[in-house]
Amino acid sequence: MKSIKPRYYSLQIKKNIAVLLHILFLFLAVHGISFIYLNMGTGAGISWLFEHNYEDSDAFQARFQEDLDHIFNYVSYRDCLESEGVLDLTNQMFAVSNRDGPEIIYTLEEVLRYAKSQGYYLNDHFDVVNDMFLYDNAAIDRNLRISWRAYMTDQKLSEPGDAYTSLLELSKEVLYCLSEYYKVHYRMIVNPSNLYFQIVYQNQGMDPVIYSNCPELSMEEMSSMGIFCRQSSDSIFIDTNLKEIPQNITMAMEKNDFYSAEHYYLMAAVDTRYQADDDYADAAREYELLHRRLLESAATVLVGILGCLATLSYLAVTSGFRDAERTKPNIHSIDMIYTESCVVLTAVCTLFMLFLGEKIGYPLLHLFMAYDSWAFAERMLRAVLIYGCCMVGAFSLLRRYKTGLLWKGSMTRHIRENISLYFEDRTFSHRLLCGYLAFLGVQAAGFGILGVSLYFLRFPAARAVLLVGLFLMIAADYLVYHKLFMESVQEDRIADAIARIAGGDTAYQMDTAGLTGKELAIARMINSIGTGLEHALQEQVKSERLKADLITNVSHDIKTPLTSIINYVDLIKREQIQNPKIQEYLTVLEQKSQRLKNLTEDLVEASKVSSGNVKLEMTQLDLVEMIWQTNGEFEEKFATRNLELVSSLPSECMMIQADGRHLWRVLENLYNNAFKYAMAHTRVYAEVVSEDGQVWFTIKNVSENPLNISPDELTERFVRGDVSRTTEGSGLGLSIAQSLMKLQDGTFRILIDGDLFKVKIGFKLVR
Amino acid sequence: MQTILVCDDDKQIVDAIDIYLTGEGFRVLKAYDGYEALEILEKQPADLMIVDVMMPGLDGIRTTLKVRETSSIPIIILSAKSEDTDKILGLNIGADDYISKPFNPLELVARVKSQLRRYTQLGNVNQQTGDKVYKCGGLTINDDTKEVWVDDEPIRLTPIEYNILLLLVKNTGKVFSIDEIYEQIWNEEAIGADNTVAVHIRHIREKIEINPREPRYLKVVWGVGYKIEKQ
Repeated sequence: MKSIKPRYYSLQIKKNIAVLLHILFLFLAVHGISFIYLNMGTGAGISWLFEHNYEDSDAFQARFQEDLDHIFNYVSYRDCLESEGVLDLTNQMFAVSNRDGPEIIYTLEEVLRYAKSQGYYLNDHFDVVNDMFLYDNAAIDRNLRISWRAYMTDQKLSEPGDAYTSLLELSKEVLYCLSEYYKVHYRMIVNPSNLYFQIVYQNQGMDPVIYSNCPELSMEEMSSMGIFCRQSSDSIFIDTNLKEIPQNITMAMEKNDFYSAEHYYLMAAVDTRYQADDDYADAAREYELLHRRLLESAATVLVGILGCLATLSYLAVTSGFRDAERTKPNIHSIDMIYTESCVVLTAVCTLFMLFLGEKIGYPLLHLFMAYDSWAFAERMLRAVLIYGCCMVGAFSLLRRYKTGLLWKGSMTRHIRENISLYFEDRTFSHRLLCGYLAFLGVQAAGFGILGVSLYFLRFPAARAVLLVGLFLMIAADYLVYHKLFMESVQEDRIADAIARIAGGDTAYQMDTAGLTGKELAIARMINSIGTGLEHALQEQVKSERLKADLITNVSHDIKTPLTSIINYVDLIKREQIQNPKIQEYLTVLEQKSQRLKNLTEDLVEASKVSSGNVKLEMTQLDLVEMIWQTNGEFEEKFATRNLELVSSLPSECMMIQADGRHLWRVLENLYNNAFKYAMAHTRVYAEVVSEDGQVWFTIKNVSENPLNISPDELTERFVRGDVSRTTEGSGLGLSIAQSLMKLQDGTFRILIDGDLFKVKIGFKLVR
Repeated sequence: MQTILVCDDDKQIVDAIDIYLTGEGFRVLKAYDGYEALEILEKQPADLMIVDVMMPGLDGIRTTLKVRETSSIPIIILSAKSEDTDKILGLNIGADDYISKPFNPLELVARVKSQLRRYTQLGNVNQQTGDKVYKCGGLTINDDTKEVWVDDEPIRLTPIEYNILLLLVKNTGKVFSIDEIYEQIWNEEAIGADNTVAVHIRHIREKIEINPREPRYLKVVWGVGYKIEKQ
């Protein structure tokens, strides 16, 4: 006992630990999945797993493209905003005229002041902002005609009045230009930047126009920084090691070529060492961090799922038993209810948990999660709740399966047993009633449904119900028919078996396979009846044979002393004793010993014949010839008693199937019978006739003694025509004859009409 | 003087047989079981042996088998078993004749004599040569002198009986129906046969057979006819 207890506890503890581990792993998996899902943005697949550098990412590409656009804007606006390399507020921005009024030129300072007065200015990120509420621009007069704009040199104004606008609009335009200029100027030129660029336009004999934050660097130096992009007017080929070629480079280069340069080039490069502390450096750091976190999450998900599977399979293997030897079933109270109820309960619990989750879990989540991730978090919560509830239910089913309760504890089984109780242990009439009522019920329900759906036939739902109902009704009716038919088939089989047993085949055992219910019980009873009958029959045959053996053995034992008696009587006779009395006594002795001899022989034969212990050699023989032969054997014998044998035999052959020697024994007994019991000086008639395929032999004689016994009694063993038993004969002759005829498939009849004694034997005529 | 060995576990039966055979001029040796019989046979030869089947120790069947290993003397089996199967068994293992108990002493003597004659005359079968002499076992018919012998005993037959027997002996083994015999002997067509032939056959059998109920030569094939059995 001591060794078992700790093990029992340890398994339980192991299981509990496994459950806890399972929950932990589940949490890990959920956590990893959530992190990946929420931080990656869907749609990109899991290609991020294989991106190792920020430069490879789409984010870098986008940022680079954006910066290139900013640089081109800078290139566009620099010359009109700067003079001598610094921002000049006195630069003229645009000229407008109010209707027919004079042309007014605005400097940058004036524009900025006006914009400021209207609430527009640049913030510290160089974005245009407006902190004043204004009505829509429609309220502002667009009555200024633009003469020219310094920042939009390519705009050709052919006709006066082409473009009317307001001062505010123009100010905003300038503000945007300034914003673009500052962005590049401040971020890349004034402050250290990881993005280096050179844009050079050059005409022969003139100084090149250079836009750059690193004019001193050579091409090679820039190329070796990391990421670079180069475009030259010499080539249509854009040389870059970016993932994608930046767009609009060539077009922007051409657009900004205010100098009709013969030769120009663009070189932009990003120092991937990120020495300067700028946006690129920040983004790269952030990217690295996120990427690492994503990989960690992926690993977490993997570990979580594997751990879940491992603990789950361990629990699945060990559940259902209390010990490792699987001897004690571990059944919880939930396993005691019906299997179906367990499934339903699981479903109900799941729904209830979902309800609780919605009412309590969601608000809690909302407290802790960002709005964007609410939908995802709710989905995760639902999944976890469903998973948990289903696992509890599934493990209950698993325990039932392992301990064999799955079917035993199911409601279906109980219902089935109850139904079979109805059908098995009841009478046929009860069963018929149940079956018929069920049939009627199904019919009534079916017709009801059909009627209702016919009434509402205009609705498609009703039509569907009509179809389904019709189908179900046909199916149910067929089922009832099938059940009844199967039972009828079984009853037919039973009837067949009874017929066979009734026909004498007592050894027949019917096959009980495929029988059910009451039919099975009946079949078993029939089989036991058959067995009993067969047994009784075998017993009878056996006892008959034993009796025959006994008689044979006793006869053998009698014969040996009888031999001595006969021999010594004969020896005394030979002594020629002259005493007449002794002669008389000797005659009696001789007769009686002879009689004893006949008796024992007949007794053996009778017992053998009646027990069927006789070998038959059936051949075809002519009954007429046989009767002639028999007559020949007996004629002289009959003459000794003055009996006249009158034969009436047909001249043609009457072939029958019989054993010649046994038939001779029959005829011998019949003739001997006539010889012994016929009245002297009478006639004995022997005749053969054939009728309806049967051959009949009849022997008739007038009995000397009155025949006051029935023919049946005469064939009983040891019954003789003379009740006093004074004559010779064993009384077995007719019995032996009858038995032998039966063995040869013949007919044997005794007819008594007054003193007329008549024996008729019949055989089937072969031809 | 011919010697006969009688073997039966019932002393009175042996004694009775002794009296009958001695009366007929035979020398009789007595044995009361199979082993004793074999011992006696080893010491002095016998011309014939009568042996009972059911004996303590070595039974009649096995004794017969033992004797047959060394000797060809006639053996008559004596048994209380009278069923056909017992007779067939006895004759098949080498016995020459079979008599069931209780037996008629005269029949026994007749059979002993018959067996002895056949045994001693085996060497000179065709003593009387000539086409007209027919032999079948112990049955001899001389058609020249119209004489019939059974085991050297002359038999007296009527002319019709003689003709019937001659017909059957000439065609040993063949079964003749009553009609056929009638037509052959009386030389007229059998119109509705009667039992004349059967009666004659019965007479012949009574004359030539030791036990007419169990004929050795003239056998009845019931429902078919009659025949002389091939020996």
